[in-house]
Amino acid sequence: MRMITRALGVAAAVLMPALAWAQAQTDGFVPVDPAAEIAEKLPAAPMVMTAYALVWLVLIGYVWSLRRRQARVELEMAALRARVNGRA
Amino acid sequence: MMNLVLGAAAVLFAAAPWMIMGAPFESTMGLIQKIFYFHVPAAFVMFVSAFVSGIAGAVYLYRRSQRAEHITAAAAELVVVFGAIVLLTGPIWARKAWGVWWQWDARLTITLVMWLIFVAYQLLRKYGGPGSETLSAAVALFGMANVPFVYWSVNIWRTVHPTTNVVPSLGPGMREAFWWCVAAYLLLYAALLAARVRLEAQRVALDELHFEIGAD
Repeated sequence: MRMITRALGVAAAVLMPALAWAQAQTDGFVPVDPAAEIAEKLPAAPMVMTAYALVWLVLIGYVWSLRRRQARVELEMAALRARVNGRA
Repeated sequence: MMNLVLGAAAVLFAAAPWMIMGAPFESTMGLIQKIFYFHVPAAFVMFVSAFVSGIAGAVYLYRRSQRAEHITAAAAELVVVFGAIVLLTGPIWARKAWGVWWQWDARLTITLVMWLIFVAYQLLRKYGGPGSETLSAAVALFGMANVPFVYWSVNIWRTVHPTTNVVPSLGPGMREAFWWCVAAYLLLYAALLAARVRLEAQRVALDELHFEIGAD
């Protein structure tokens, strides 16, 4: 009997705050979620185009960087060949 | 051969906007959902590159193969490139869809961590000095191990990010546009990887020539 009473007491202690919170949620006014408001007002087309442009920028930037590094290596190779031929 | 691959990638990329415009609008998100067609394929390629880098890193650690080391480095660089695309396009989509640029949820955070691991790979390999190839190969392996966590994070933890059910459940119109973009990205990745591996091999050969000439 004591065990049952104790168990009920613990359950009540745990559940009461949860019930009170749920009660407060339904009783009070629920403010507008600012995130949802932002999401509705932002124009989608410029954002899609910006994302697309960024993809192209990153890829073109990387290809440009690759070509620049390739050119530098080829230049150094040519200079080394000239140096080796000069020695010979 | 690589010119053919690059040409095919160029054709697919050129036609991609028409495929994306032709795909139906998503019912809740509308136009902004079209970012999906370049955000998700970029993530897909990022995962593939992480696996290529990690496996090549393991081969290098086991066999000390120079070619494996070149592939590790090249693939790791491409993880950073395609990861940048994912991390730039995702927040733009999120701003419209969720109202915030960023959320510290499981998927986004683990993706950022994985990207930073491969950025760390670049710094370690460039500035780590002699012997850094071995340590950076281990870092690539560690980065590869993050991929399953990134992928399954949306199913295991409660996140705002869409789950992995999205791609298998794509409807007609969306499915074709998506796989077209995936093919375009994969072909481009193959061409870039080949170019970067060749550059790495030439750079190492140049260093060895410098060393030989200097020794003479």
